[in-house]
Amino acid sequence: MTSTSLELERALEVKGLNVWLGEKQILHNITFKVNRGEILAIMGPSGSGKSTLLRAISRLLDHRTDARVRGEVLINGINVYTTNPYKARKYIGIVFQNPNPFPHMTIYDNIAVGPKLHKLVRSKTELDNLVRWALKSAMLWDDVKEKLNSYPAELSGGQQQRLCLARALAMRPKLLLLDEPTANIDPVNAKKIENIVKKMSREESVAVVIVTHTPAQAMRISDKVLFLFNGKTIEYGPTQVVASNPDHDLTQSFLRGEI
Amino acid sequence: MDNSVPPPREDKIFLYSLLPFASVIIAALILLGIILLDTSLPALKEYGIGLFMRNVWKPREDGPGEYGLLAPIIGTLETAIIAVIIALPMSLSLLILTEEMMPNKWRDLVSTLIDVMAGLPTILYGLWGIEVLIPFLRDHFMSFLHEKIGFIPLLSCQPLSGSSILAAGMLLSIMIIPFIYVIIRESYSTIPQSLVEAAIAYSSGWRHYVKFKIGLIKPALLGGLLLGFGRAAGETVAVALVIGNSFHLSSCIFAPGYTISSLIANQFANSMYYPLMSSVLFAGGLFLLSTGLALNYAGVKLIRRSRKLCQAV
Repeated sequence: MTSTSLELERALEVKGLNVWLGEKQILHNITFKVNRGEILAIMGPSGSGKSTLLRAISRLLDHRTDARVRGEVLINGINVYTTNPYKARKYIGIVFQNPNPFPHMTIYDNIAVGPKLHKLVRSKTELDNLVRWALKSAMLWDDVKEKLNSYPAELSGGQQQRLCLARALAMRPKLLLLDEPTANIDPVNAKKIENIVKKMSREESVAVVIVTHTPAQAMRISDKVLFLFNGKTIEYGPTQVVASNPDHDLTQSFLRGEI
Repeated sequence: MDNSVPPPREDKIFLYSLLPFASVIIAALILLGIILLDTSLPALKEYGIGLFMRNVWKPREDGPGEYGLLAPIIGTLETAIIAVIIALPMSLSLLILTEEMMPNKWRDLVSTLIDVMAGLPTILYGLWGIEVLIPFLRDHFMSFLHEKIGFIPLLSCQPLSGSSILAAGMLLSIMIIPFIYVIIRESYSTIPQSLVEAAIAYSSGWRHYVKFKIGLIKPALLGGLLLGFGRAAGETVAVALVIGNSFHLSSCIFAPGYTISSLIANQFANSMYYPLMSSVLFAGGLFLLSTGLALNYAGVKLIRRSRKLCQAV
C-alpha cells in the first residue's frame, strides 16, 4: 500500500466523515487529502458545513455535547479520533473567522503560550526567536516590535487577525486550518494574509486548508478545491480544472456568484 | 449606557413618573451615610481615631465610659479572611466540576441547588454551626491541630468551648461559597465561544484549557472574592451565634472574638442605658459602611472589567 514517504507527504487525510449536530446531519461522507505544501480551499455558500468540517478535523466539536462524528481524520498518519485530541492539535495551527487573540495576555504571550505549553522550545532565547520568527512571518513584526508587552486590544482588527496567524505559525504546524480568516477584515490585511499563507505553504511545506465563501479567493490561492453544498461534496479536484471546467451545475452557479 | 437614545417627547412624562422610584433608593443610601455619620459623631469627638485603634470596652452609666473597637474590627477582618481563603478553592472546584465535568442534567441540578443555597436565611447556617460545626471543630479539629502544631501562633491557644474566630470564619465560608460561585459562573459561562475555541486549540491538555479560561475571568474571580469578603464582613446573626462574643484580642483563631456586626447585634439593646454606647455602635456601622462600599465598588468594577475584556475580541 502506501509507502512511508507517501504517508509523510500526506499531512491530512479525511475518510468518510459524517457529522451530526443534534438530529441534523451537517456533513455527509466527506473524503479528501491534503499533501504537505499544498493548499486546499473549501468553498461553499454559508450553511454548507465548511466551518463544521474544520472543527471536526481539529476535534473542536468535542466540546459540543450534541455533536456526533463518524469517519476518520488522519493528521500526519495519526487518527485524530483515537488519540489524545490535545496531542493531535500540536501539529495544527488554527485561525478563526473573527480575530480572537487572548485578551488577558500580552502580544508576546499570545504567541509564546502555545509553544510553551506544548514544550516546543527548550530555552527563553529559543522562545524569543520563535516569537520573532512567527511575527515576521505574519508581517506583524514591524508593527509590534516596540510593544510586545502591550495587550492585543491596542491592535486594529486586521493586525489582531495577523497576530492570530502568528500564534498559529508559532506552533510550527504541519497543518494550518483557516476558517474564513479574511472575512471580517479590510482588503489590505486580507491580501497580506493570503500572501503569508501562500508563502508558508511554499517555503515551509505547510499543508493548508482554507475555508472561504468567495470563489475568487479560492482561485487566487489554492491548489485544490472542495466545493461543499448542504454538507455534501459536490466537486473536488485541482483548482484549475474546477475553475475552467466544473462538472456540476451547482459549482458553475457558485463560481458565477449566483448562490 | 452612554449611547442610549433619548425617548420621544410623549414618553418623557412616563420617564419622569419613574424617576421617584430610582431616586428613593439612591436617597436611602445617602441618608444612611448621613445618619450613620451624624449619630456616630459624639463618639468620634470623644475618642477620636483611637476609637478604632484601641481595645477597650468599659461602659458607664454615669459618664462617657471607655470604648475601643479594635477587637471587633480585627475579628471582622480575621473571620472574613478565613472565609475567603476557604471559599476560593471551594468555589473554583465547584465551578470546574459543574461547568466542565458534569453532564448537563446533573450540572443543572447542582447549579440550581447552589443558587438556592445562596438565598437561604443565614440564621439557619448559624443554628447548624452551633449544633454541628462547633462540636465537630472542637472535638476533632482544633484540639488535634493545637496538640500537633500548636507552636504556630494562629493555633497556639487551648480551644475551649469551640466558639471561636475559626468557627465563625468557616461558617461564613459556607455562606459565601454559593455567592462567589454564582458570580464567577456568570463570567465563566459567558466567555465567548471564539475564545473558548482558541483556548482549546492552543492548550496542551484539559488542565491547561481550564487554566486558560480561569485566566480569562481572573478579574471577575478577584471581584467575586471582594464581594464575598464584603458579605462575610457584614454577616451578623449567624456569626453572633458561633463567635463567642468576647473582646479578647488574640492572634489565635481558636479563641472567641467579636465582629462589628455581631457586636452591634449583641449590644444594641443595652446601649440605651449607657450614654455613648449607641454612638460607638453607630461608628462601628460607619466603619462597615465605608469598607463595604469600597469593597463592593472594587468588586463590581473588576467584574465589569472581566466582561469588557472578553467582549473586546
